[in-house]
Amino acid sequence: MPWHISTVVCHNRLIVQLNKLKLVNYRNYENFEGNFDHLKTIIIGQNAQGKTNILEAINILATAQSDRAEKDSDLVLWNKEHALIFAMIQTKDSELEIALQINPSGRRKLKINDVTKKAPQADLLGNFFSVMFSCDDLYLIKGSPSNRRNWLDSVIFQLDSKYHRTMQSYQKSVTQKNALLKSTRETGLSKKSLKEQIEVWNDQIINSGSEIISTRLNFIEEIKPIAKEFQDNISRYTEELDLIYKCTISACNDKEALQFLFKQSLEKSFEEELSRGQSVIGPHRDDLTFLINGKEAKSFASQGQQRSIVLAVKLAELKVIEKRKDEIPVLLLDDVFAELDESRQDFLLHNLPENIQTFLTTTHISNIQKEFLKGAQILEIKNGKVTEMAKCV
Amino acid sequence: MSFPKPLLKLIEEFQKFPSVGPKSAQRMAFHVLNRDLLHVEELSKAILNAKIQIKRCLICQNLSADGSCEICSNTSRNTGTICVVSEPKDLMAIERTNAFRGTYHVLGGLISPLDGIGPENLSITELLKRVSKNNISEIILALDTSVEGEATTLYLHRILSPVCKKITRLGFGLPAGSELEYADELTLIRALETRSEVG
Ligand SMILES: Nc1ncnc2c1ncn2[C@@H]1O[C@H](COP(=O)(O)OP(=O)(O)OP(=O)(O)O)[C@@H](O)[C@H]1O
Ligand SMILES: [Mg+2]
Ligand SMILES: [Zn+2]
Repeated sequence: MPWHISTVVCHNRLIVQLNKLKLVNYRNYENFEGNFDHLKTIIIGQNAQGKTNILEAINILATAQSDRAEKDSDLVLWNKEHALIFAMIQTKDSELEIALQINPSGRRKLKINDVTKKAPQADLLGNFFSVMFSCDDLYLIKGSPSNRRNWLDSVIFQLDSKYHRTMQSYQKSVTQKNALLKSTRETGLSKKSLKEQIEVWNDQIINSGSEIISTRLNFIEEIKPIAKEFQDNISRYTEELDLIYKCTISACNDKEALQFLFKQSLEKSFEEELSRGQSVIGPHRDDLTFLINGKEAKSFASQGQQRSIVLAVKLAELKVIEKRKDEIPVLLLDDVFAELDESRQDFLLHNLPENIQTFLTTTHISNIQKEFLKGAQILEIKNGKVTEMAKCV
Repeated sequence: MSFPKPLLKLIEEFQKFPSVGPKSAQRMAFHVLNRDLLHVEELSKAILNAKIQIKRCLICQNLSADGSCEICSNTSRNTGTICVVSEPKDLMAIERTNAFRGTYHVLGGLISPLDGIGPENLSITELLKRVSKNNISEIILALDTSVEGEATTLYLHRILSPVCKKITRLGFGLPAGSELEYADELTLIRALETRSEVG
């Protein structure tokens, strides 16, 4: 599987995408500054010193969200007014200076090349791309449906910024409808007028919800054959991977048919929604199933097989982003070498694009293969401070 | 040491204003203390008078010092067209254009169950009465494009359809004088969907 080389070579040195990262009052960093002019950056430190925090900040620049913080206030150094992520990014056709301010209240401010953007979330997306590997990835298989939805969404956010806006209005409509369903217990609204009011939310839920479903379906169709091929190669053709979108409505790709089915299902579940006081169907309840040789991986695959699936799916994610955006995403490897056995480590390293900018965290440099260390830059981190910077040869 | 009680009370009251935090409230309170008694009396009178004298127009629910507002009592306005808006400030925005000669109806908000606002909290009954009593040829729904604005538009459309033949809504377009490349995707998509023939 050859990758084309899209990184610019200049004076024998590769120009990296993320040149500079500054963090101010972000997590346990009062003030962090990293300048990156090597393709590989290795972040070394003991547990709980702030290694993952750096990768998380980079990932936020690409996905507009953190995969582990529940709310923005978690990202701000305790007792500080706001956090700042500042980055200089070299894309294939421009230079970007991104400044993202995160407030504990959840309000964000975004400036790109000194221009204040109106939508700090949606306008951040599409400028910079990343793929994160971490030991939490196994939750993609054995975790809850929301783990899988979050993964799906974070990848599609990067690919399609309209999807983010659609998701926002979908979630707002669902929240409003839930509030209405709950309030009827107290207000004792007649069923007729309740139905009238529910319908104005349902209409919007159907509109944005169908769009979300069909965007997810298209993405899965796109990533499936690529992930399958990786899985074939890891398993030497003994494990056939399949991905199925499990839709609470009916996974169908025709817009009008989907809207019709959505409407029908909502009508059918009206009583249930009323008694439970919340919306029970729609893309916010959908799931994704991974199958190995036709059996559900969640319940049948061994730990090792599950790791292989995650590896195949993540490598496929990288490839889909590269294909669609014509830009190699930045790779974030969070302590994964401690988790993967040697053959899977080899597989990962040998299936990466040649000039991919990589950030890797580890507690011990001995966890990392010698070959990978060549030409890497090393940052040693202790308690939110850089204690040493060095270069490997 | 803390501030004397009357001052604390004043700060507390200012802080209840929209988008006024503790620091601004303090600054406002000190501003009051530093002014002449005469000015302060004028201020408190203005607050009271506004509250006592400003009422809702009996016809359109716009703000008004009399029974019916300036627009409803203007005989040159076309009473057959009603433009429905959420708040008086939206009415003012349309009025500033000088491009609309009909009348208005002010809902007093948008449907938002999260904030405890249902159709019964808006002046929809008044609107229905007005439409069934008078000969209304067109109702223009001029509400926000947020999900709450959209829900209110859909709801009103449903409720008003049986009593009025022509119900319209504002068009989706590009901001005037703007460059196409800077429009966000959603605006562009909607502008495409509602494109019209040249000329
Ligand atoms: N908002 C915050 N303010 C201050 N400190 C924070 C905040 N959020 C997290 N931390 C601190 O950051 C540290 C965790 O950082 P991080 O998760 O990056 O560690 P790590 O180096 O990746 O560790 P491990 O090797 O265990 O994965 C913890 O000490 C935690 O208390
Ligand atoms: Mg970590
Ligand atoms: Zn009036």
